[in-house]
Amino acid sequence: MIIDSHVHFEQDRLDEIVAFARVSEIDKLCISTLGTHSYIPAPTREEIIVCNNATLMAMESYPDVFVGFCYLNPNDGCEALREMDRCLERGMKGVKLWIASKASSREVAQIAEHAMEHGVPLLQHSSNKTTGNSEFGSNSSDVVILAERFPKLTIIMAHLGGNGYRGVADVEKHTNIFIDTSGGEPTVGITEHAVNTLGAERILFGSDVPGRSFDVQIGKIFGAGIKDSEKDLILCGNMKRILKL
Amino acid sequence: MIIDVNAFIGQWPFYALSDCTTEVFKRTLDKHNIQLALVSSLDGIFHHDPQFANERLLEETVADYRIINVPVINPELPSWEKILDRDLKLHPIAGIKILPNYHLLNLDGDAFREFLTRFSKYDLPLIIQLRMEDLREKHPLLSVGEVNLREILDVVMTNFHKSAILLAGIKFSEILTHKQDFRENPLMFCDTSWIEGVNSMKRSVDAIGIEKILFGSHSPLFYMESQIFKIRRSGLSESEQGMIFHDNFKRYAPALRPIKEKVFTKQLNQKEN
Repeated sequence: MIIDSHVHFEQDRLDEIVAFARVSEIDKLCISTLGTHSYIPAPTREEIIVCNNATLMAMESYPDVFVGFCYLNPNDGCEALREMDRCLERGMKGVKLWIASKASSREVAQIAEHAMEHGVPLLQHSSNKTTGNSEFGSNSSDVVILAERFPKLTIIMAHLGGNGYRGVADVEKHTNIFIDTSGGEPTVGITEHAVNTLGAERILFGSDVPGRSFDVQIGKIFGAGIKDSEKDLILCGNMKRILKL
Repeated sequence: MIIDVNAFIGQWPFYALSDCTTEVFKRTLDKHNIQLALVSSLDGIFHHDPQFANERLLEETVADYRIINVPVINPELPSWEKILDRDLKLHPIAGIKILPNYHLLNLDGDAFREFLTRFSKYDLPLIIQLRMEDLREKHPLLSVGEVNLREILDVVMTNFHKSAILLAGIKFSEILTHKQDFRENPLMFCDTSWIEGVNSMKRSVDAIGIEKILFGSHSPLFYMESQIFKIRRSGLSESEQGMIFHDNFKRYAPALRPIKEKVFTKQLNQKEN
């Protein structure tokens, strides 16, 4: 089995996404919706509900394929917690946060505490861009602050390539932080470095489809100079454990 | 059979590459059944004068018939023509590679137009390397920006004639934006190394025609597995994949000088037999 830990919904492309996942022999896709037509960095409450309903629709269309992650705007306070409850009650398995608020903020702390109480993972966008992050975009230092506040919360820090060598160094001591390999170019070396530094059990395969493609992104794992047993953990074993599948 | 039109050998200055030597590259060719690779020097990109790096790469690879050198040229260095004349007497060259953003070329300047006019007489392909890495991840000391593709195409199409132009490292979005340029210029090609997105290979084919697309790996910076999966899992037919992996190269190669064409033909025939 192969599990993709990081996929996004795109209107009218669900069938295409599933078909290409099958070509790459990927069985399950952890999906969140950041916008039904274009991604919304700071969605309103109404937009959040539309996004999460799209995820629920995807889960209903392909119940054996899609594992839902609910998209939240931490600035919505208690409303965000209620939306998390609604989504988890309907079968979603995790929470997705993008760039509405930094991972080190109080607003995200409230979300994190609620996710921890529910025992679900929090997938947090993060990158250490040389060219600078967006105003409320998180970097790996922000994610570390979140991990220190909630050591029992399972945090998936998105985008190994975007966080780079600095990101791996930042999270090394914080064993409740996993890193997904999604997005970015299939650059040689960073997968091996992350495995050697953190251990394969903290790395998760992800693609960031549909902006990226399954074939290129999975090549980062199959092409890496690591053991087959480590590839198995990255492609399936770790996420299976996190999702309690 | 695979022909790789966009590969490198050498050190990337900003992180360690374990698979960057000529010997490792030869093993990569064996492992992935790549019969021919057009290779440039990574080191040459960053040298004030790339010629030393070009020559060193040539010395390391000249004995392997599968590796054809593509020298890195800085068009604003006055020595480029003298060096090219000398190199052409010594060994096959599958065109030259320019890197507008790494060499900070003034695309609107007389020097670049003069270079294109003079280079036209060689009847060799011109490979324009549009990008080397995601600029969001570049080293903070680098001042490299994005290449303005519209600007460079306007200058090149006006001043460079007869031979093939290969846009190496083009993105899927740029293919869609510039599809009319591909349609209007029979000798304008691109490689696959930076094309990505769900169904992006088939959509690229639909936009510009399959005969315009050649396999490029961007090795050793990118995983070869990612690059080959991209074609194998694209939904294109076996024959369409074959066009990208090798057949289209024969459309691109006739632009080479006759002596080089013989070398290529001989090598390809040997492999096909």
